[in-house]
Amino acid sequence: MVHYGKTPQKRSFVKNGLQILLVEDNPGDAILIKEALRESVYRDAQLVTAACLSDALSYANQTFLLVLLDLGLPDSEGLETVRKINQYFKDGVLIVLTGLDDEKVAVETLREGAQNYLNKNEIDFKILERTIRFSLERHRIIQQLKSVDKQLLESKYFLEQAQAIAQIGSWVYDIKNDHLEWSAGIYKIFGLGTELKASTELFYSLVYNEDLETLKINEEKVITGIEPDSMYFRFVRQNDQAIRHALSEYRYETNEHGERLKVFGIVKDITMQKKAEEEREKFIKEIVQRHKDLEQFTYIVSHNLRLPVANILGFAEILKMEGITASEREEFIELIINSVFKLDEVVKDLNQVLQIRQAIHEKKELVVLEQVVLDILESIRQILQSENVAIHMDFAKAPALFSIKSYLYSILYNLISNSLKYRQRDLQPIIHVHSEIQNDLFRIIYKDNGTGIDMSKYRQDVFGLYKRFHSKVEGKGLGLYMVKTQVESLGGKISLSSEPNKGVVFTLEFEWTI
Amino acid sequence: MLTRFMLVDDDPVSNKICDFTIKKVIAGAEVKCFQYPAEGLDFIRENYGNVSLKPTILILDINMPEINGWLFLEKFMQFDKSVHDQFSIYIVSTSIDHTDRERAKAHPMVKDYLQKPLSSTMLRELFIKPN
Repeated sequence: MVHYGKTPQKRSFVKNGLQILLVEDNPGDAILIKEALRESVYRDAQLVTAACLSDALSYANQTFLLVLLDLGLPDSEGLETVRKINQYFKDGVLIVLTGLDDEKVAVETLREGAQNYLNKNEIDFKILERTIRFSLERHRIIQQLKSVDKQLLESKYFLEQAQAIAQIGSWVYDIKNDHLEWSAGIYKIFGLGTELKASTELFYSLVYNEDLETLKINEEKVITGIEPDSMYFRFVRQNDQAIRHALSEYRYETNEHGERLKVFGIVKDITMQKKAEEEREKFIKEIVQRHKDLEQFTYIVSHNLRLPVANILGFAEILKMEGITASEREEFIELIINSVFKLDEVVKDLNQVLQIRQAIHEKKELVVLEQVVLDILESIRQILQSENVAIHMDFAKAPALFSIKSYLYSILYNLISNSLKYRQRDLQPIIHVHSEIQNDLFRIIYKDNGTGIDMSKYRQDVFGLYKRFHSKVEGKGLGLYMVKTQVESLGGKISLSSEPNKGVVFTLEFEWTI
Repeated sequence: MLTRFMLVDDDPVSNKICDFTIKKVIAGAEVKCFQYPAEGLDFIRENYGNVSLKPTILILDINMPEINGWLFLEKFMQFDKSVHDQFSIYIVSTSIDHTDRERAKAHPMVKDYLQKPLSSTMLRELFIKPN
């Protein structure tokens, strides 16, 4: 019988809608529980009763805060029941009702997600109240823990993502316990499987040989306590054997006595930045060199223009003097005319050089090198015969280049012409030209056995404008300058190695893109 | 008064102008021209070591291949002081580059920097002492 006034009135603890689902097939037990509920602080809860599992599941679309579940149902038993209920009433707090024999099973249900269990034979409203309150609280705490867990996982995930994007990994070294830990980022940077244990030995095994010494000295510093720093080193990434560049920075955690407890560090893969830096430096060097070339060009041209002008002025002044004989006058006029011609020559040379610098608008085509050389040889056939010149060419490895035919013709023509001019008197002139592709570069290598150039003396001036080194041989000093200008206007580079009487070796390099 | 001149310039035309102008402006001047600086140095070495003093005006070009004006001066500095004392050195050049001018004026052995062409007015001002 229900007696409302039996117990002192307690405040009802039902917050907005405490729904309770009671799954109990035994009507007597059901009544017992209902009575206990009515006397408890949960008397205002909405109570729904089901007599078997399938009944209970028919209420699956409703939300119940609390499910009181009898284990011995007609259409389900024990743990299976619990599982089913959990499946359909995920947000509900589950309290299992047991008879005398079910206690062991009841304990197991706690593992399946039940919050608590009640022995039906011992139910009174006080026990019921306590159990429900405890279970609700326990459920709340567990939910909180789950949420915190979830947040932690998310944080960890964010950190991992951030590290992956920034190509950074972090590590912690516990000094006292000699324990090292790596973040996922470190494993990724080093190309290691995450199953491997973090250790300094493993780390050292990756480091590039040359950098190992410096690194070990630095590691000492880290532990013995010289101020934190950053270390740069190269390492071999394990999953693809690529050589990468890294920067490591670290700081310490100390206790209140200033003793170092832990070291926190990061490792950053800076290979991209390193490469960019190297590119930039290369670029700057090239620009500085081009600037120097231009300055030299200006200086030389101005001198070569001014000289004939100065001479013309000098003679003009002389011609104004008194007491010049007729033959002297004639001589001086002749010399003035010569100077004018010289002036004209310089202007024409200048024109030619400037034209080369500008004329990249000329059409590029696939130039077959062997054909170019044969054309040159044909044009100087007689000299080749009279000088008994031997020319060996091998363009098999790299037969053709996408470029401007007339420039390549002019370049090779100049080189061959120089070889003839600077041959050694008693030797048969022998010339070798071959081409190859190396490191994405198309290279043409030209050798002769002529008088060569003393590079230790003239390295700077070899390709210089109007620079000459053999005063006994005719020439303006323009040939190699033109060759260099043409090579460079094709986007290439030319270098020379030579020793006196050992001939020359010119190496021309062009970008090779197919 | 015998005025001795030595011209060192790789351009024979410049030398000719200089030679002619000097002789026209300064009566009785003795002029020796050297197209190859090495030969000029040899000449100094052979002829200026003796006791007899021969005050000479040296007009030296800067832009010469192999041995340029600066290198010539370096080698000249290696001679004895008695040799140095006999020369008044003037640097001559087509260059309008002011660093060349400054460098010449700063050199202890160089009296002045002249720009080509050497005119008769320049020569008169420099070498004919006003009475």
